[in-house]
Amino acid sequence: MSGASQPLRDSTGTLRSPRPTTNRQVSNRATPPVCSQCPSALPVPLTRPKRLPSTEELSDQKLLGQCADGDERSWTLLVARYENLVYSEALKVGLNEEDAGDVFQQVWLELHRSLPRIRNATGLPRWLIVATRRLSYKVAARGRRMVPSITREMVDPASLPDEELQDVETRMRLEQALDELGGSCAELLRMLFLQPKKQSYEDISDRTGLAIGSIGPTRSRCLLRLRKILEAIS
Amino acid sequence: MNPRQAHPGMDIWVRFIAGEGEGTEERESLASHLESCSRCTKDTEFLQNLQRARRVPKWVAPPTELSSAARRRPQGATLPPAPTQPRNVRWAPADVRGGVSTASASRMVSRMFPQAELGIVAIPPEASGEWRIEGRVWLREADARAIQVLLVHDDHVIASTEVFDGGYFELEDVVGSGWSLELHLPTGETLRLEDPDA
Ligand SMILES: [Zn+2]
Repeated sequence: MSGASQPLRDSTGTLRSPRPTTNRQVSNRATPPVCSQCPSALPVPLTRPKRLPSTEELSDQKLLGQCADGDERSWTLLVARYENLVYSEALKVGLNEEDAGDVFQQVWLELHRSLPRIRNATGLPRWLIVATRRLSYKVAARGRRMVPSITREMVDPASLPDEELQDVETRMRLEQALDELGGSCAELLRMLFLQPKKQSYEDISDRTGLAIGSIGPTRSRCLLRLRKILEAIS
Repeated sequence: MNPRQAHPGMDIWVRFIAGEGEGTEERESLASHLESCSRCTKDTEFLQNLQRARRVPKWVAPPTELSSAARRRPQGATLPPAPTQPRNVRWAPADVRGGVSTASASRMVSRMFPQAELGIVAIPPEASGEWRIEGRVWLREADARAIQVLLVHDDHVIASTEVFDGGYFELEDVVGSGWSLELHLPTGETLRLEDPDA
């Protein structure tokens, strides 16, 4: 099977937050062993090395707590998890790359200042978006940038559209769970559910080496595993 | 299909959520099962969440140098947590106080407390959208340690500065309605001044 010797490429490209030591990066270099709990149709990369923390150990709650205690590595992991979200949000509101870069830096400084008082770690994506939008307004106003999409309203956290926020939070949790899931299952689910355009079974079969007839059953097994992880995260 | 019958598998629900089989008897049967089965409702909610994640616009990675800089923990200690029992201080319409400018809609605090005396002015945003807050804090008992002054909104520390006994401070920043100014005294006590317009 092609997937065994040629690990699937990251199907989402920059959509994913870079992680310093992702399960995928480590596991794909290893020889696929047999896994009794995993879909038999897929080659199963090695499980994570024992030293790599699980999602629970890497929860936002724990990372925030450790960051507040001065832990360097937790800070790095936290920024790595959310840097794409912050930078993309600054661009999305209409800033140019230079101003988005300024906002990006200021958001992390604000997070650092605020570490001991962030009560709701599960709301961290919202916290970051609120900060990014307010700072985007500030950078645009101070630079006298005329950006029609940037309004004073952005300073008010209540102006953040709930639906958009829920989508982002769902996506973040899903990315986290897929990293925990790792291996070919995660790659298959990314192809099926996270690509902006739906992939045909033929494409998926070409890229994974799975027979078209086994994509459905494999998907079901992978989904059940993913759901367990998501339930644990939640 | 009814709840007493076997629950359809995940793969069936994937196709159902994708809208396959529109108008067929099988789909109607699945819809009817769903109405009375909480377990399968959970399955479909999970799948709908997956669909929702797809709606998020493509994220863009920051330039490498920005990312590398951000991943290094900022220097300096983190600031104090939210105070559990701050003493709330009320603003009054602005008056003239030596050395501190005032504007028409400004508010001020000029009061003596057991721990400190305050002389602070808050000037509302104009075109820049930025509040300006400036003033002095005099400690009632001499202390060489700094007073931390934080401009806060919910759990965001918007801006911060340090000032020593009798020193002048100013903060100017964009902040939404409902902000507060916290003065963390060296003794551990906190005085809090809430947004006068909230
Ligand atoms: Zn059911």
